[in-house]
Amino acid sequence: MQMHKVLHAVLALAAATILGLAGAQGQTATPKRGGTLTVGFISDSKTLDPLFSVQYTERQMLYLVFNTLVKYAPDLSIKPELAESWTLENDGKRVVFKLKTGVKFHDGTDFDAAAVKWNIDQRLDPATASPQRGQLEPVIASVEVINPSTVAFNLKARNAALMSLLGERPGFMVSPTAWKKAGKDFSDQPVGTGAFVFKEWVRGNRITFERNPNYWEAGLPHLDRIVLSDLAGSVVGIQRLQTGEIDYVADLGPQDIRVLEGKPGIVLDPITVGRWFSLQWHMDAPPFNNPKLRQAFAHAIDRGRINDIVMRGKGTISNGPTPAGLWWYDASVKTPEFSIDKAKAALKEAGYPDGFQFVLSTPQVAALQQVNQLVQEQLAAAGIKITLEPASSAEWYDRIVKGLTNFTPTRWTQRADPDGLLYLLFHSKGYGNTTKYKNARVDELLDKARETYEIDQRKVMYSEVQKILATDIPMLPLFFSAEYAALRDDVKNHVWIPDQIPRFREIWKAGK
Amino acid sequence: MITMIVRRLLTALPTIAASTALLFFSVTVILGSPAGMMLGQDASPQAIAALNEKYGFDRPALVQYGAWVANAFQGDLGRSFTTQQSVSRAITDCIPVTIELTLWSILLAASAAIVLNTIPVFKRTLTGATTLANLIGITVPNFMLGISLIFLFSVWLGWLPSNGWAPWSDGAGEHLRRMIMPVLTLSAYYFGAFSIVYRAEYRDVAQRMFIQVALAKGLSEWKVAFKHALPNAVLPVITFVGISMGQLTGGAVVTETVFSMPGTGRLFVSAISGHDFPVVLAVGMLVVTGVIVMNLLADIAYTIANPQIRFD
Repeated sequence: MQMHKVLHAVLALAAATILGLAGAQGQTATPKRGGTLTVGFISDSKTLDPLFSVQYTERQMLYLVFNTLVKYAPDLSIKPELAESWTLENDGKRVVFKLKTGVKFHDGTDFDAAAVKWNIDQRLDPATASPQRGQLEPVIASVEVINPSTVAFNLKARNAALMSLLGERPGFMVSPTAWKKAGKDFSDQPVGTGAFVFKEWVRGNRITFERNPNYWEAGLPHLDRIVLSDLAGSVVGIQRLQTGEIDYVADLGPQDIRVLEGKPGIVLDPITVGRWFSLQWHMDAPPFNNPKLRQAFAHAIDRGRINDIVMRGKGTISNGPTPAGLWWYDASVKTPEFSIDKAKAALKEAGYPDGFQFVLSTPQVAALQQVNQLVQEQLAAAGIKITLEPASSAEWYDRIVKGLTNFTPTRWTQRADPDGLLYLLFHSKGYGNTTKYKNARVDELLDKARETYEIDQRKVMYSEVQKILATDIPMLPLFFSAEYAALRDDVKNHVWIPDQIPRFREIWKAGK
Repeated sequence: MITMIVRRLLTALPTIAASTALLFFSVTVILGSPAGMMLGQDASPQAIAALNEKYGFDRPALVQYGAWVANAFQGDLGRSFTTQQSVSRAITDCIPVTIELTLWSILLAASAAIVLNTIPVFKRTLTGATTLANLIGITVPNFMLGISLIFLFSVWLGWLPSNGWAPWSDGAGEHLRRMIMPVLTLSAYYFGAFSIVYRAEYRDVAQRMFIQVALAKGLSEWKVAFKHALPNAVLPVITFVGISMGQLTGGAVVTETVFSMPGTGRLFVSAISGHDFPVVLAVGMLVVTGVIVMNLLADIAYTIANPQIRFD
């Protein structure tokens, strides 16, 4: 069965649910050629070499210089990019890709099956020490060049999440020739097949990309140049947007946009699927291995009020890791409802009739600090005394991974496939399972869903997982964030993908 | 004087060694291996272990430090673990930016502090105003001052671009125009600090007999202030300038951040957050050297400002 047909079914399903959410503006007018788009961003970028990329802001640039084998549509369905089509063979354990022909890297070398093989092999090679090895190695047994425009991936097991991986970091195709020549300097001399060619990186100041005149997608790109300019913070970004020095700034929260609301010349474009905010604890040790205690916490938290205050009511209350709008969302999953009486009763049953106290890790991140203050206030009403413990934001997540932090808020971005976040956080072997949650049924369902290509069957399995999570509460869901990009109104064709990485490839400027 | 300079430089070596060792152990022991930062949030424990082994992050800190010193002695500062960039290149890219910002700011701060506090008319009529300016300079945090300047000059008046910095390759005019706000921001604190030091000394000098005699002889107030009082009151400012310039080789983190300037301060902060010890150590070494060299220059300047002082 053709894999992309399965995925088209996903598309139909997802499109039906989130139709109208995506792409707020400007697809009707004719694109205009030329101009410079200046983007302000708070940079955490370290490298533009896709093989070593781990930072969040690197990806918006990687999507300019490089193409991926497949791409995400606004509903997270998988579309062809450098791979034109693909078929499944050998009981789903072999994927054969037909590649676009005539595509060239910026250094003039050909993109072909051998380049694809080199890209995957290089990531798999332990000597490279690519962070993506951990994602690819459990899935891919070997890559086989069949002819210059056909390449086959032999899989270790059936894997429904592979295609979504090839739409992000593991799927960026770099020029093997340029990579070998530059060595570690590829970090700031990236060469891909993308719509924009890397020009210059003044670290800490700006990064410039120029239009690729030989780009293979007809009619693209529209812009002549894209400059990404470093910002000290959202406040500076908002100021610079108002002076017209930058055209675009993303990652704005509901509090940030107050000053921009209703300003002429500025458009606010909300993301379609927010980040998941939750509280987590250690499931394998007292006190939180006590299910009644977790239930008491869940009943004591008023998620609606947290959303009203932290997100100005613009976020969505969460009952689990999956927001409405993604195909694996199940509306019947419910977290224990807010009720002080039930919280007190559960606390008593948990063996704490005289109340309970604990520390909550509080990183220096404004949104998480606000969340923690509200959590502290709400739990106090149920007889739970919380002390906020400040944590340096640089070390905070590191300490969670090392098991040094027990009770803490966390936030996660959605992945393009349910296997991404659900397996990572809740499978006992998940790399991000810092709660040490272990449920045999959840493990079994996640393993099985990973090997199942049929979307309807996967949905049933993921629903069951989410229902178990709502009872076990390894992580206590709070809300999905509301976030915004603010654009000058002459910037057209901005479309959000639920992975929250801004895409500039197809943007054009109307000019004044 | 030559022997003094040589002796000073020689004692600098153990200082540099001790401070890099201290930095190294704080970075590796407190922050830990950079492997987690290099592999990202989703990394498996196996991948982290493999990377630790590949780069030798699992070796005892003393062994790792020894290896770093051995390479540094051969002029090889290594590569950043997170950006892959060669450390010497990262540093040589940053230094000119930081030095330029430092020079302009200290020059502006020192000359404004000295001149404003020497002019007799100002001293009588504007004492309140300069005191207020000093206080603002010292107390208002650079982040707030920088953002307020952006708000005033870029958003309201529209005179200056809000992005504080542009490379020389954008043209000298553009580059200098964009230096104005960062220099104003950074010099505010130093203006206040230099003023206070200078004023205290000046008041002292003004009481002395030779000033009274000069005035009694009928020399003009201006001439007495600038020719007789100033050179005698300026010494503490020179020391302070030396120390400040030395410290600023480590970059002005806040000012560089607000105005997106690619200086050593930003490099240092991002290296610490990335547990990137080759970069942390290199910048640390630079700061220590900077402080030592600048103090030395201040001492030499002493002998020029006041020929009575000799180093023998």
